[in-house]
Amino acid sequence: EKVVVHPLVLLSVVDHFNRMGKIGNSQRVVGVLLGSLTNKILDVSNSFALPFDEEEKEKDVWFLDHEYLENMYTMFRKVNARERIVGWYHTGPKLHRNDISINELIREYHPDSVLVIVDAKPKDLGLPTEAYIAVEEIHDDGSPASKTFEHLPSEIGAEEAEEVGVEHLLRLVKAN
Amino acid sequence: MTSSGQENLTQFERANNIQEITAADEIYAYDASFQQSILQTRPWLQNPNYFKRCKISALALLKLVMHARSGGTLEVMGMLLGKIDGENMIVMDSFALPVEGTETRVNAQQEAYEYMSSYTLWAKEVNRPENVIGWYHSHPGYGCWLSGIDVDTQMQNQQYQDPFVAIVVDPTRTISAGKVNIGAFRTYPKGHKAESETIEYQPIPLNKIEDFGVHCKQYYPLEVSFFKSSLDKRLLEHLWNRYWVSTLSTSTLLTNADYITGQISDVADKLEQAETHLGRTSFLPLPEQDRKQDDKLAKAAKDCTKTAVEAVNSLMSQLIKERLFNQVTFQS
Repeated sequence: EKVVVHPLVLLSVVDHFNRMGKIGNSQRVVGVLLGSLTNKILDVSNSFALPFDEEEKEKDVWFLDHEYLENMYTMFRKVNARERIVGWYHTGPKLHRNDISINELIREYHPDSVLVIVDAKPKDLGLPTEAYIAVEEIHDDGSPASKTFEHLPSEIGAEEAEEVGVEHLLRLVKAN
Repeated sequence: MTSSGQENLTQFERANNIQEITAADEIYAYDASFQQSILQTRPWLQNPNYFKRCKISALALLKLVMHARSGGTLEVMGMLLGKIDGENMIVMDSFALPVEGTETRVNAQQEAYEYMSSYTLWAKEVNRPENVIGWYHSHPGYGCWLSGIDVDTQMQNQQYQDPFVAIVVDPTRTISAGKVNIGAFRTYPKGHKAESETIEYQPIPLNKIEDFGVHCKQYYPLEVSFFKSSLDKRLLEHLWNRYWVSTLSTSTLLTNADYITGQISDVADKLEQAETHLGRTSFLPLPEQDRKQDDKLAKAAKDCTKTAVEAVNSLMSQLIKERLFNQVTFQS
């Protein structure tokens, strides 16, 4: 399986992170990924942000607005029925301990939910995205199977219209 | 500042990971009370040409283009969220509306109004405090301008929901020309007309040209520019390294084959029309009539040139790519 992320999703995530940063808290932002699965390639074409909160000290205490998720998803489906919930994202920049439990919540909407961590402040050159999928790990010593995240290959891909838009923006970047 | 002072400053910045809030990022700050005060005074009522520029964020740009493209040959529409800053209308974000667009009816109905208000309300929960500042719709393949119905809709909007801007995007021409085909417009109140032709010339298919001509003086275009945050900039710089491959490998000739054929047949129709006009002149042509015919022929010639240039550009780039990547050999 491979994950293809559209530049629109990247920009949405970064824009969301940018907005939240204004309040002075640099906690991560969380949201839902929409897209479709064809021939083992997961195409992530859209996304939306979610109200998310977590305790700084107690990582197990977190809150995600379910109702908001369902309402927004219904609205997005009206515009494009082909876009389904395929996973979720956060801005990391690394995996957190409660990511597994958040993943379980999203799995109620899509069993093969994928987590994409988008690094909003990438330090080195390279892709700012990392994709993970939860797998059950069976321990040899007989303890109950636990879930961990396995890395999935990801890349950036776009449709022609998107490419023209991005090219236009890139030209602005080079000119400045 | 002395040089040692400067060194210390850079060290301090680096150690504390200080981000410079450049002018680019200030545009993202939303001051609710400032916005309210502008809404109270309403300076645009005095001057129908008050708003001169429209700034669109990188995010909104991509969303507009993607949504318009997803409609294929059907018109799509949506709303714009943003704010005002003096003579600038700033568009921060956009969202699509679940309405069916037909040739003559891209009108929001009851469901769309509900969608609109719910979306705006919920957007505030994820820190997007801006309000609706306009609407957008697409004209797939026939350029950026306001049709008669668009003008009526926008006049109503400006009457009841000002400040409001109308954006039109053409996804087909965006791809074929390789640059974003987008326009922002504001209508004049009833009775006021533009002094001269303000809309930039663009080839318009024969079946739409009448609609364009009748209404083109009732609105004026705003100067469109795009902006991005410093984070966006960094992200885009990272994308640059990955992007050039896919950009090089696309061929606009293939993706837009239908559109190009349509353009050619449209030019053929226009030439036919120009021809019949020429045939109708009497043996003593009046100078005025001559000018009108020249106009038709000249316009058809302009349209033809534009289509030809685009097609030649795509062909040339294909040939160059073929030469460069398939035929260059290294000499040891």
